[in-house]
Amino acid sequence: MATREQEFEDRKQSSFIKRAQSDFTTVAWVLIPVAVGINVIGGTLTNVLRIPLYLDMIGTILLAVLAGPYVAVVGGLLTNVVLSFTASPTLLPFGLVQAAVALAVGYLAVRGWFRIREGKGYLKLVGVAVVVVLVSVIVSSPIVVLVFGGVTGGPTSVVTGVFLATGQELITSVVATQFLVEPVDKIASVFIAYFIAKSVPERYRPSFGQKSIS
Amino acid sequence: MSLIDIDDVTFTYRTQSDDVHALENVTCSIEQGSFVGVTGPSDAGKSTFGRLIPSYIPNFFDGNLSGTVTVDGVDMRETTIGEQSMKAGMLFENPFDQLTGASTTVLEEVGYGLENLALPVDEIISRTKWSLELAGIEDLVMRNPQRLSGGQSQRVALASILAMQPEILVLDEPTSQLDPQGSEEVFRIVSNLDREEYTIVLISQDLTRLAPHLDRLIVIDDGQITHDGTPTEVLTDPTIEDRAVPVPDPVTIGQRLRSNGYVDETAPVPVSMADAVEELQPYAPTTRPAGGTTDGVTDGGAASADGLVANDVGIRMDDVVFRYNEEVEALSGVSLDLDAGCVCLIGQNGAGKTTFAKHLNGLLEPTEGQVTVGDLDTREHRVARIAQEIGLNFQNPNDQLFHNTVDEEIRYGPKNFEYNDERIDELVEDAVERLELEDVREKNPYDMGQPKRKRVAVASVIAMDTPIVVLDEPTGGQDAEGNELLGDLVESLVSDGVLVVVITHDVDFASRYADRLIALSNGEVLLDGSAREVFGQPDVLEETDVSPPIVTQIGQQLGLEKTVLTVDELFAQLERTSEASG
Amino acid sequence: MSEKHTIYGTNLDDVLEEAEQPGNVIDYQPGDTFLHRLNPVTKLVISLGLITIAFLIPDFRVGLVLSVLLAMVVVVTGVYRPIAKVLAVIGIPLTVALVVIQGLFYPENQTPWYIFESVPVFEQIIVYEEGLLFALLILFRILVLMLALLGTIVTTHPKRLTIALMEKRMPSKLAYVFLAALQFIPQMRQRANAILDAQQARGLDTSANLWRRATSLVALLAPLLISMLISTETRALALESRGFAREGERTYLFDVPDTTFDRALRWLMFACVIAVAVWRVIL
Repeated sequence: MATREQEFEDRKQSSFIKRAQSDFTTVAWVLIPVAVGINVIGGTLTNVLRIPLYLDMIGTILLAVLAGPYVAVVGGLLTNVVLSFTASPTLLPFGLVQAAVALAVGYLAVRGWFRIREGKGYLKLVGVAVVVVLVSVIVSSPIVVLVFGGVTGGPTSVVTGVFLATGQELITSVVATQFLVEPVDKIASVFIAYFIAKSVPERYRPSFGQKSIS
Repeated sequence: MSLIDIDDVTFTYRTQSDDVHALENVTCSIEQGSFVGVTGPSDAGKSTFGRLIPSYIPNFFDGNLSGTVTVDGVDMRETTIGEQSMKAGMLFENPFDQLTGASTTVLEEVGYGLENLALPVDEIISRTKWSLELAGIEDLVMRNPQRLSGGQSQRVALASILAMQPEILVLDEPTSQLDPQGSEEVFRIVSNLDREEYTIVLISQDLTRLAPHLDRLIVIDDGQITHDGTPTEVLTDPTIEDRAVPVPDPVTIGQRLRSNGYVDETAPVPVSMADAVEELQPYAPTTRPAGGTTDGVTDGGAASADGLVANDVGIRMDDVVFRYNEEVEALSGVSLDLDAGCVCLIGQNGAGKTTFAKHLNGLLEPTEGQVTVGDLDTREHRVARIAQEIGLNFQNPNDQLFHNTVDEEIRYGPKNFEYNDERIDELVEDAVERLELEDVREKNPYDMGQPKRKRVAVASVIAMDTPIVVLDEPTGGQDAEGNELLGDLVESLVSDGVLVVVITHDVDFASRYADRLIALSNGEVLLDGSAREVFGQPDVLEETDVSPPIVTQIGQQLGLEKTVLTVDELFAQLERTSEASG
Repeated sequence: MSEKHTIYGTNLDDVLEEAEQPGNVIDYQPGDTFLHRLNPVTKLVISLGLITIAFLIPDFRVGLVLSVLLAMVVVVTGVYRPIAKVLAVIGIPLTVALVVIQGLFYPENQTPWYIFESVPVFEQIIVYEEGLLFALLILFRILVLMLALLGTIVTTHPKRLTIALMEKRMPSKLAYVFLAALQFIPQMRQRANAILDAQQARGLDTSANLWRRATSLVALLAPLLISMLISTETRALALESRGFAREGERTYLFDVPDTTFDRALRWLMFACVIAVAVWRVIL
């Protein structure tokens, strides 16, 4: 459909405040805690299924695709606020990563990167995943270095340790570690989020999501 | 002018195609203080009708609306949902989804709307108390709303709406997801509301409970009002279709009494059970049988299994005890052999029905004792393996459906078992046919209403081609047609030699289709026998909060010698009694 | 606002104390200590102020002193149980990783602090002073962060936190999403378990190969999201019918006092942070 391409035209021409206002419908507000829940539950389910990934951003990505970048930023930040309350406050700073990814994915969603019509179209998703990986490495590495001195205590710390042992600088070791760990996790997250979003029938999608996915 | 005026309304949802109308040329006025019931088959437009009154259409649901709706003189296009909520409140079907989800106590939940209205704290408290009392849930005030039962949750939602002090209440299938006790409570509260102050529009398929309270009954079928009148007028209308409106037994009995000349044709037909009993009283036996009502039972428990194809894969439960958290005992020593036919399981919430079901395929393993399915001990095999012997369908279809089409959805189970393509095609074909899903095969399951989605979920389990099928609450929320379809399905599975276990609150279904009926109470088997035997002991059944079907109860109140399960049996008995005495 | 409201014999101020908790690891611990009575915003400001100070000064002794002070407050208040639990679960692996990795491999390492002789495989292992000091600096900073925030969280009912923030002009919708998210998580976890049960009954195998398990994730998350979206429609309607979208004044059932003492504390904290920042810049 040709009109699909134009769906977001009014949006692109409107002011930032107008755009944000039109995204924050009551349905979008109610969707935010749901996305936070999915971010948190995603991690639980990977444990049940013994999948060696975090998948703690599926909710944020979904929210960005279904309700737009601004709503997703709120959802992303809130995820880590809530995790501080339910798991550990050390997770609080990583809310910035969620927020950055939310903006990036939401922007790509407006640009039609989640509208896929043929087999080749899935390359778009790979593109989204690459952006997500870049954004999360760029935002999370400084946090890991400045707040945690490069070591978060998780299994990835061992990898960072190996890099340090070979004589690398702290920031280089952290960035290298992130580039080793993140791609698989984020590619999986983007694809899973896309397939979930696609299985949501149109009538249950917020108006943003009716235009962004196909 | 009436309080609610719906004038020539046609509505099409944005996601519907243009030639399909959810409502078509609907005109209807509702007077202040009336209690109006709305009934009809699933997906016929009842909810859409309800959504007009609190202005959800056109203010929330996008679509094409023609005609006008005015409430108290205000056009629904000219108001907002927030404004209109002080005039008309709406209670929804799902008891949990309509809570805010942000409250830690029932007090906050009920007070939420009032806080938003910026009322003084004094008034919030007095209004909250008033509405909690009206809903009979003062004792829940400190509870966490997320941890209530369906019935309690529904009453909290009702209290929250009442707190906004609307004059109109629209209730959309408020009891279809509740157990009989919960339904009873909700109907009791609604029917006790002061009729000077409230105008009530209640959408429901449960005419047996609903009809006695109504001033007026509207039938909506295929987007149009087909009948509109007093309950008696509508229910005795010869053009009423069984498919659309299941006529309650008391009405059927009343009509038979009139057509057979027992009662004057012009007398109003009874709608409630009490009225039906009163009409029947003169024809009842004068002396009550000396012993219990079970004396007259003709068929024994063992007899029920006669003639049924015994299955080579049965279920054996050996002194099964299940405890969770090391202390709460959900099953306490259940021993059963299930081998053939349709076995129905009844009992109150908390009696252990769902725990029982989860033991059948190993989702739960017994703390003590043993469960064997065929020759598999459930403790020794993975659920995915046992699932090849026993297809278990859970109550909520939304817990399992996730494919883009009905066809793919049904394929999921057989594909997991890695059957060959040809067999999968056959099984899917068969399941689609049995559940009459041919015309929606390529549709997304979530584009249909919940009752139809339930059928998809059942089909997806049937397609796994297991020798045992377990259905949890298959008829919940189904219309008359859906009930009939599921009943036929159970019968055809049984005749194919499948052991069917049905967990249900629906005593009418159990009465019609059960070859064997098991009542659970507090984790133990309370009664086990044919439907006639089990329903013949209402005093024992009361322990687990189950009432026999209406017609059986009527028979019992009349003191009939034998337990009756159908209106035909009731009349046969009465005629025999009157012959004997006359 | 001094008159006492009651409902069915319960003082309104005690309702939240007696309410059931959602059952998360770090739940609110009911109590009536000075920490409980502080305005939530004051607690947040102090926490963030102390964390800022700890991160501004690159000396582990600052973090050490602040941690000891915070630990004393927490112990006196008697809410240390859940805090100790989180510290153990998150803190121990973090400490081990930091000390080992930085002690051995910190890029600035020069001065050996301790040498393990004749270790198999490696001849010797040298733990360096610079790395250890760096590890201590980071550890105490994180300890300050955890103690301050956990102390605030366990002594502040989320509802009171949102009321206090709304009184400082936070939009009521943000308060809603925060409270709802906290309540939804246990509920969604239950739902996820129900879905897992239902899909296992349809042959989803939790012990299949990794690829199949990974694709199974869609079978679990999709029904979760869709059923939550369906409930979103109903919930949005229910909320709008109860004034969710209404602009303007709101009342709060619960009174969260903001005393002069609270204000003084906040200004004091603010002044401290500025002082430390200025001192750091001049240095």
